[in-house]
Amino acid sequence: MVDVDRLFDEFAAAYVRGERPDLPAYLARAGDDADELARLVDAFLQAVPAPEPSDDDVAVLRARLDGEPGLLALRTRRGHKVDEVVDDLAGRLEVDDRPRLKRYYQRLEGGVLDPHPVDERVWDALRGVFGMSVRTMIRPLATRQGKSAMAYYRRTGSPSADATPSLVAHATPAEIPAVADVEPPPGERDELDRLFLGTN
Amino acid sequence: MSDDDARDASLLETGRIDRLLATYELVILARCIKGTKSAHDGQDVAQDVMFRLFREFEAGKRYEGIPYRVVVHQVTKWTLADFFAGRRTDVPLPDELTLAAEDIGEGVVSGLWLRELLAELPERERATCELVYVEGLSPEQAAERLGTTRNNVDQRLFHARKRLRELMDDDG
Repeated sequence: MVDVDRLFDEFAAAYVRGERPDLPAYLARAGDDADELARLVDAFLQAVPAPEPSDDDVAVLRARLDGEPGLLALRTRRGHKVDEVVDDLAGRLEVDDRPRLKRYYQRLEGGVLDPHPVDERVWDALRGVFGMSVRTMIRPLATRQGKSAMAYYRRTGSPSADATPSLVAHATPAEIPAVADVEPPPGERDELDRLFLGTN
Repeated sequence: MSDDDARDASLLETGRIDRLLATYELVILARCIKGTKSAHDGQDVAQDVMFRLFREFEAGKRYEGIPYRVVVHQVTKWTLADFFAGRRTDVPLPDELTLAAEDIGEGVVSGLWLRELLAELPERERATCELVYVEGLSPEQAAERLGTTRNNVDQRLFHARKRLRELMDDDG
């Protein structure tokens, strides 16, 4: 089992250096001790000055407030093409079925794939691609109409692109595959499906 | 008013609400994960908190005289309460912000008390903790800087974490 104290020290040092450590990833590493680590981190963050965010952090947040998925905003801000990201991702995840990986990536980037079941390996790989954690930037904070995006997601479940044009269509450079194209039922999922959809 | 509170007030005054929110994003996330005891629910509630803060402050709401980090703390608390009660979490915030006694007691209002916490520690432990928890050095780097072993650094950090845990227990 990973030592909670060591995870905390690692997290705390990264935070005060101005990095944005991926808290859910640290909690996943803590396993059964995740609650204790969460309490320790929370107490620490209340006790230290909040570091200045990077320009990337602010730009991504601004985009999410404007109804745009954060990962899409980050990629376009960096000037990366989807295919470049997918190539990098395919290598890091050792995935051969690149077309299907691209469809999953586009759905994740478009904010229409529920980020919660996505495997830690995908978040690790994306952190490698972008040099920062992208896990919590997937969903927009607001809809284009200025309503709560979270309330929208709760009402509709994990929406498909064709069901949520007001939320993502303006910001999506390519068509996002519909759910039926890429989401097999749990019993029929292969390794790539499980990376993005989980096992349930 | 601390330097950070002054920075926050200036950002708010100049309409840089996005930068202000980005500053506190991880603080909000940690509080929500701790409150819900779930990384998934915590991320969702943190989204609610961020949206709520943005919408209200964009519309001109201000809690004059109260540091922004305290407002963040209170709005997070309200939103968690709404979440657990099954209420909508995107309704407008109250016009008044009254701090509960436990908030004042837990140091949220006085704020930024890590240095005070460290000041309680013996000199060697304090210096070690400052390198890791203030400057962001790894324990290995701290050991090298101090000319001591990693094991010694770990022992010194232990005391600071022990104090943090005591504060957590006070906080419930």
